[in-house]
Order: sequence, then structure tokens, then C-alpha cells
Amino acid sequence: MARKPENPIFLERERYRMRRLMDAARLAPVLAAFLFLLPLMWSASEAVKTASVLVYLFAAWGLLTAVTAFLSRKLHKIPRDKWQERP
Amino acid sequence: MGMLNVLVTVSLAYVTFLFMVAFFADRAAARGRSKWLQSPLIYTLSLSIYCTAWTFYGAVGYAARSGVEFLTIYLGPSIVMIGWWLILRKLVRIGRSQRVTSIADLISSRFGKSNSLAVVVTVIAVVGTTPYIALQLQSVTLALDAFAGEEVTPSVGPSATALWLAVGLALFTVLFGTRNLDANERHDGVVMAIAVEAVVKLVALVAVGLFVIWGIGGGIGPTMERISQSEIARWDVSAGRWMGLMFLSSAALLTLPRMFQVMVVENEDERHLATASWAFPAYLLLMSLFVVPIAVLGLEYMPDGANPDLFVLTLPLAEGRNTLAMLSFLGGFSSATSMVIVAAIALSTMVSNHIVMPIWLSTQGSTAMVAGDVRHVVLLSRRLSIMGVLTLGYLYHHTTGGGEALASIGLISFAGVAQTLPALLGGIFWRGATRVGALMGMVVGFVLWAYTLFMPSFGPEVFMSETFLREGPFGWGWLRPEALFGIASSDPVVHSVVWSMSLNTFTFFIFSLISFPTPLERLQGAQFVNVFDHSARPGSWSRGLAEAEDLLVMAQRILGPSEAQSLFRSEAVSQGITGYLPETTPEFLQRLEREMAGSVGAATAHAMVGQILGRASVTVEDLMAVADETAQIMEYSNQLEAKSAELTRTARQLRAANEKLTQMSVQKDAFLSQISHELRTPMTSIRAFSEILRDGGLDDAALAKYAGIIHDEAIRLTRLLDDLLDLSVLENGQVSLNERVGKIGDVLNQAVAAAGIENSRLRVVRSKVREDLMIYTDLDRLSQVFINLISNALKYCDAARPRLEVSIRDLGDTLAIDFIDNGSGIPMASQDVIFEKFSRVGSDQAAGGAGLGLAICREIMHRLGGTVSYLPGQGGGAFRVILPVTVVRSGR
Amino acid sequence: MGKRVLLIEDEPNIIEAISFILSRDGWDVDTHANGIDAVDKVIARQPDLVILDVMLPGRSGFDILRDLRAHDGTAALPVLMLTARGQTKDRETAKALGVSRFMTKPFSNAEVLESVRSLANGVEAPQ
Repeated sequence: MARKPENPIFLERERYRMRRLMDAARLAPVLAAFLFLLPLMWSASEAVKTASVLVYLFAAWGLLTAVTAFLSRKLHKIPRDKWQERP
Repeated sequence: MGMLNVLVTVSLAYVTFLFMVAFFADRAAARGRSKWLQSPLIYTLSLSIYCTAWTFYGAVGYAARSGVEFLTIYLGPSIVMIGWWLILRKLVRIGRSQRVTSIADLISSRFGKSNSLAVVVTVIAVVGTTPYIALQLQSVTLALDAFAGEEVTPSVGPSATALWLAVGLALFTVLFGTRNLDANERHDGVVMAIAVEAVVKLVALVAVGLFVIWGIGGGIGPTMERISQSEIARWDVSAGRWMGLMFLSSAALLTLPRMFQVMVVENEDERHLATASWAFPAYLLLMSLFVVPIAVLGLEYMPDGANPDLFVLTLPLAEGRNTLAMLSFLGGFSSATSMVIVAAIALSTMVSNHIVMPIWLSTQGSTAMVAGDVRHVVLLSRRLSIMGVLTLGYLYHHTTGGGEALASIGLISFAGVAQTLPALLGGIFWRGATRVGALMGMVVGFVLWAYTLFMPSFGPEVFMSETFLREGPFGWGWLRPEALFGIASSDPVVHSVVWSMSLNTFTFFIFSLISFPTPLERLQGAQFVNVFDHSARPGSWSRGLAEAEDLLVMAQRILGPSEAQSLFRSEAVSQGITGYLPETTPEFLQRLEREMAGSVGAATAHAMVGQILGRASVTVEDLMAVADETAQIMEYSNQLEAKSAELTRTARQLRAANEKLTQMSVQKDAFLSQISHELRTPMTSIRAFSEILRDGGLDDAALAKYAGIIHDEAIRLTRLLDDLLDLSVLENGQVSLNERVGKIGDVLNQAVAAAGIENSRLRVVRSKVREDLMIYTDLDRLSQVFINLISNALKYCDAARPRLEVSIRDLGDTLAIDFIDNGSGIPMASQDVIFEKFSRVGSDQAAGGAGLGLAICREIMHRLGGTVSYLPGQGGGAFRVILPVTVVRSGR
Repeated sequence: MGKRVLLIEDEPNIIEAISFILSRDGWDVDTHANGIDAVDKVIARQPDLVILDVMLPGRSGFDILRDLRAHDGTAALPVLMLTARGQTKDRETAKALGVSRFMTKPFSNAEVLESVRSLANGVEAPQ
């Protein structure tokens, strides 16, 4: 970290953000699994059509891709040797 | 007929184009201009080999049969990619830090570099992938048939098409997959070609999709309406299949050999994964977006009985869109070929490293390590393995004759390779996982898979009889392949996956718990699980046992001479030692082993180093180092680690400096007495004979003889004084260099002429490569160095037919001129002192000279900004002169 | 009468010079050019006097001298040592080992001749 030592609060905050970002990255697949399994709950209902499930799944898929892109780009900016930091 | 001809022409042109792409990408990489080749985009596109012809043609067929269910195959991998931070990042880091060559290598390396484990994984991979390769061959054949349609079927039958395709793919894979002599280099050409194919298949599928929605369907709204009217309008999916297939495809992304190849082995930079984490799901999304519309409109427009697996092709064809159909064909062709190429590379690496090479090594006996150039054997074995893999795929296609729905073969294959998942994940997340557990788990899983899914999939009477399938072996109903323990499932795939994966995992856990790992397993386990705490890298070899020179000789055979030398050199430099032979610290041995693992696999590399060290396992002390919790805590602190490394280095340097000082004081005394001896000896002869002459009374012959002796000794004395003066001037830096431009070959010519070898038996062999390089330096001084080295060979080379090889190498920022003779070389103990003044190896005073030659050479090279050093491990006396490249100009 | 001198020295020109000087004076000169089997040679030839160089290929003159003094047949044999190193330390070493006379190269021919004569005639006893 090339930050000046006279601003330690900022550095702490930075590191805190980094950690939470990693947490989010860990939770992303759980969210994905949840969203992709959700349609199973609708099976019972007669009214549900393939077309609407398709729209839902592609929308969820697109959303997850966007979230992952956001997280990855943030994590990408962290120096790689900090990647190994544990929570 | 015309249509088919055009298609064949276009395909051939496309193949030629791919060859060129691969060729130029390889060339660009070889010239170091590969920055854009190694972009995250290329990495993401290379991952798209997940989408094979099974996706390109099969997804639509799947959707036409089972509706939305086809999506699970793409949602599963998306979850894994979105969760890259958890698993993939660790896999890639381990792959890179351990120089893993395949999934078999990774699992074998984790569990104590066990080759039996690697063999099991390799067998699973080959059995699981062969049907998949056959599937690709079949899809291209079917697509071609669809084009031929009712036209006269040409004399080239479908099987012949598959044969020619297999031959072409083998050629491409051998050419670009095993091109580099350095077997562990990444395949830039192949990766570039499959990236191009990835774009082609995406564009093709999207183009067909757009055409179907707007060209036939009448826009988005009406198309959605048609979907709701179609046979697959109802959301009716089995929860078991939905979850099971999503799990299966997630597992496949991690365990398919070809995916492991592009994702881990070919990975250039860990950060590419960050981009692929969202870009690859996006790619999959685009590939799946139009599948349902195409399926629905295909069902509506195509005649009953038309193969839904080919709608992507036949729909545009039926609408008369021949260009679009051709594009679609190329998309399918791309999907099929890229999968086969990468799968062949991945499988051949495994087969070669874990089956062929160990067998070859054992036939060579224990001296094999240093017997020849292993690299050629490795390459040959990989090439043969590639051909073997493709032959298997072709034979499978030929014997089964195709016909099955594409999707089912794909799923069977997925379920097969997924059997390595528990060992893989257990290995990288659980330190308690053991080799026995992994082995038992995989064997149980593989057997169950073969019994419940793979063998029944061939239908009755191939592997299992009708009664066997219906009533079980010996009429034992609870062992019916498709209803184990009497639990009949409507779906054989889910049935098989549930049983094989759960019993696999269960066995893996139980045997891991009750077995005890070997020390090496525990070491590797710690390294894999704690890969991100890079300090936790306990040594696995005790120091001091290995002869550095033997290791260098072996490493040269496997890595190639210049790579091995620069590895040894850099290690020596980091240890603060000059020369090519570092101390054989555990860290260095581990590094060496990893480098070699990149060429021959971890198990083989370990065995080879073990052979040189004279032992093949880890000692109790090493184990203690791992088990010792205190050591663990210390290892976690990077700072401490860095400091202790620093201390070790400083201590080593101090020790060396101290030794040097002691040596210098001894040397100073020795130097004075040497000088005295060297000056007094000729003096003695001169004085004695001049007194004899003075006494008189000699005949003419004696007179002439004795005068001659006085003359010779006076010259010897003068030469010695000249040398001493020269050395003193050089050492004090008072020398003025006469720098000019000249051809290096001319300097060598001059040196060979002046070294006085014309009446001797010494033969100087020069490789003329690079001899026309122009250099800018003091040519006379350089020539003096060359003369010295040549006359050294003349004096000391003790071979029956003495021979000196002079070759020039380009080391990047320096130029090396090697002088290697075929004598017995200089013993290890003397290699350090030969450049000291008055040092003569052995007692051979008769060789003449005062032992100042090499000392002068060293000083001259120092002045010229280069070095001269002894090159160990070349099988004879070998000296290397290094000139800095700043004084080298490449001329016309 | 031809008393026998064994010259152990490796420089061909010095061998030539000493042989010439001594032969001219009537000595029977035998030469040997390396250190390894010098002691065996002395024992086999039983010369009246040995001229020994210090820096010999294979084995140093000091070691040879030590062996000669330790062997019954040669313990009292007159040994004239020649060295080109000329350090006082070497002279002391040679004395301690029981050399009969020690000379530094380059030497005067007359001096060598005189030393050989007096040693061989027992004028100067071994120390």
C-alpha cells in the first residue's frame, strides 16, 4: 500500500471495504443458486408458462452477471498480493 | 451437388484460416509480441470450449424435447464462475504455483505425488471423454448429411467424413499442441484458434436466432406467443433433474479435462479469471438466448420426424437461406473442432505423463535420468498419445454408428468425469484428505457410474443382457443397474449421479478418516490447502545430500540447457553465490522439482530428483517441521519469514567473505613464494649454463645447445614478466581499451590461428551460427582470451581424440561463447580456484606456463564488462565467455 | 672412482646443467623427475648422495626427505636440498627434517660442486 501514513483512518476504512467486497464475492454464488432454483417453487401452479420462466431466468442471469462484473472489477483493483488476505 | 461443393470449399478455406491464425499467434508469442494474445478476453473466449457441438446443435434438440431444462447445463457453470472467488481462484493459484499440467497431475500431486492416483484419473478422463469426442465427429457428419439432403450421397460416406475429420484434427493438434520443445509452454496458437472459433460459433448461433425471431417468428412479441402455444409451453420440470443436472454441469466445469486445460493450465494471469467471472456467464447467456425460439419454430415449421438436433442448420436451409446455413455449419464445425483439439491436448498430456513416461522410464533402468535428451521422448510420447486419443474417438464413433440423441452422451460423459470432484475439492480444502481416500472414492464412483449409467447406455445386449438389466445379476433385483437397492428412479442419469457421487464422497471421507497419510501427502496437503499463505511452504528435501552438478546434468536433459543453466544461475545469485551451482537447499530442490513437473508431471519429477538424492521419501524431521504447530505459527508471519531469509542470506555471504579473506592471506604468501619460484627457475638454468660457457672447453654442438637453453629460458622469463605486468595493469584498471567494431567469427579465426594448434591433434569444431554477429569491444583483448581458452584445451584435454567445440549462444541481454572439450574436465573441488593466479590443476608442470592465463582472461573479461566462467556438467572441460549485449550490434 | 649421485628434479634444463657439472667432475649421475616414487628409487639405487628439489610433481621434497630419514637404509644418507622458493621458513623446515645441506636457486656451479664433494666424502656429517 503506497498510502501516506498520516492518514491511517482512511487506510483502515479502505481495508474494511476490501474485506466486505470479498465477502460479497463469496456470497454471489449462493445468491445465484437461490435465484436459479426459485422456479422450482412454481411448478405446482398450472398457470406458469415456459415463456415467463424463460424471461425470469434470463433476467436473473443478466442481473447476476452485472453484479459479478461490478464485484470483479472492484476486486481487480486490489493488488494481487492482497488477494490472499483472510477475513 | 453444387451446394455441397461450395460448403466443402468454404470449410477447407476456414480450416486453412485457422491454421494460419494458430501459426501466426505462435510466431508472435515466440517473438515476445504476445501481450494481446494473453488478454482476459482471449482467456474468456477460450473457456467457451465448454460449448461444444452438443450446445450448438444439441441444445435446440434438448429444448425441443424437454423445454427449459436444457438451461441447467449453462446455469450450473455460471454459478461456479460467479463464485470464482471461492474455488476457481484457488485452483488457478495452485495450478500456477505447483506448475500443474492436468487434472490428473493436480490430484496426484496433492496426494503425495502418487502415480497410481494419476493413472485412475487418466483412465476416468479417457473413458469419459472418448464418447464425447465421438459425439463431435458425429455432429459434423450429421450436419454434412443434412446439407447433402436428397442430393446424391457422394462416394465419401459419413464414416469417411469422420475419419478425415479425425485425421485433420490430429494433424492440427500435433502441429500446434506439441510444437514447442519446451513441453510445458502454453499453447498460444491453439488458444488463439479456439478463441476465433468461439467468436464464430457465437456469431453463427446469434445470427440464426435473430433470423428465426424476426425472419420467421415476426418479432419478439409474436415469438413469445408462439412459445406459449407450442408443445413445450408448460413449465413442467422435475425438481430432481433440475437440481441434479445443475450440479452435474457445475462439477463438469471443474473436472472436465479440457476445461481444466484452458482454465488452469493455459492461464497466463490469475486476474484474467476476474474478467472471465462475468464475461463467461454472459457468453453462455448469449449462447442460450435463442435456443427456445429456434426449437419452437423448428417444431412448428419442420416436417414431423425431422431431427430437432439439427434445427439450427435445417431451419435456415428449409427457408432457402443458404449463406446463413453455411455460417451455421461453420459454427457447429467450430464448436466440434475446438472441443476435440483441447480435449486431445489435455488427455494426451495425462496419458503421456502418467502412463507412457513412467513405463518408458522403468524400461530405461535407474540410469535413465542422464542417458539422453528426455524432452524428445516427452514430445514423441505426447504426439503418439494425441493420435491414440483421436483414434479411440473415431473407433467409438465407428462402432456405435451414432444415432443416439446428442444430449444423453453429453450427460453420461459429465457424470463420468464428475467422479474426480470429491478428490479435487477435498484435496484443496481439507488437509485431512488422504491418498487412500481419494483412490477408493474415485474407484467406487467410477465403477458405480459405469455400472448404472455408462454400460446400460449402450442398450441391451452390448455389455449387459436384457434380463440382466431387467432383473439384475443372478436375478438379484436389488442390484439392477438402473434401480440400485430397489430404488427405481424415473431418470437413469439422476439415479446414477445420486448413487455414484454420494457413495464416492462417502468412501472418500471414510477412508480419509481411517487411513494415515505419508509425510509427503501431508506436506503437499498443507501447500495446497494453504496456497494463499505462501509462507507455508515447508521444505521436503533435506539439504546437502544432492550433488548440484548431477542435478544440473539432469535438469539440462529435461528443461533444455539454457533454461536449466539460467535457473541454476538465478538460484545461485539469490543465494549470494557466484557460478552455476547453488547450494541444494530444500527450497531450491522444490523449485527445481516444480519446474521439471511442468515437463514431465509431478510424480515423475519427484521420482527423478529422488533418484539423484538417493532417496524417494521424506524424513521424519521434515514431517516434524510440518506437524510442529509452533513452526506453523511462525510460517504464517511473512515478515518473520522474510527476515530469517535475509539473515540466512547475510550469514551465508559473511561466511563466504570470511572464507575468502582467510584464503586471500594464504594466497598472498603462496603468491610471493610462487613468484619467487617462477622467476628463480629460469634464472637457475641461465646462471648455471652461463657459468659452464664461461668455463670454456666445449665443442661447437654443446656450445650451441647451451646457448640455446639460455636463450629459451631468457624468453620464458620475459614472457612471465610480461604476463605479470599485464595482470597488474589489468587488476589496477590502468588498461586502455582499443574498442572497435568487428565480426565475432573473425576474432575466433584469429585466435584459432594464433593458438598454435596446427601441428597438434586437437580439432576445433565451430558452429557457424551467429558467427557473423558484429561486436563492439576490444577485439585484441577478446582474442587474447580466446587464445588462452583454446591453448588450455590443447594442454589439458586428455581425450584420445581431443576435440574442442566453440559455439555462440544468444542469452537475450548477453552473448555467450562456449568452449567445450571432450576431456575429463575439471574436478568440482578445483573449479573455484582455476581462475586464481598460479593455479594449475593437478601437478602437471610440464604443461608449461605459469598458471596466469585464466587469471588474465578473467581480468580482461571484467574490463570488457563480461565474464568468463567454468561451466559444469557439460561432460568435459567447458568455459563460457559472456559479453554484454550493449557491446553487440547485429550487423549486415 | 665414480661415486653415485641421484638427482631428483623436474626442470629438464636444470637437470641438464647439474648433470653436466657433476659428470665433468667425474661423478656418476642418475636422475629422477617426479616425487611420487622418489623414495623407492633412492632405496633401489643406493646412491652416495641425493640432490633433492622441493617443488616436485606429485610429492613435495620435504615429504620425501622425511621418509628417507625414517628408513633405516637411508637415515644417514647425505641429502642436498635445492629450492627456488627461498623463504626462511622452508630452510627451517628442511633443517628440522634433517637435511644435510640446503641451497637456494639460482646457485653458483662451484658452490654446488663443493657441497657435493664435501657431503660425499663425509666431511660434513648429516645433522
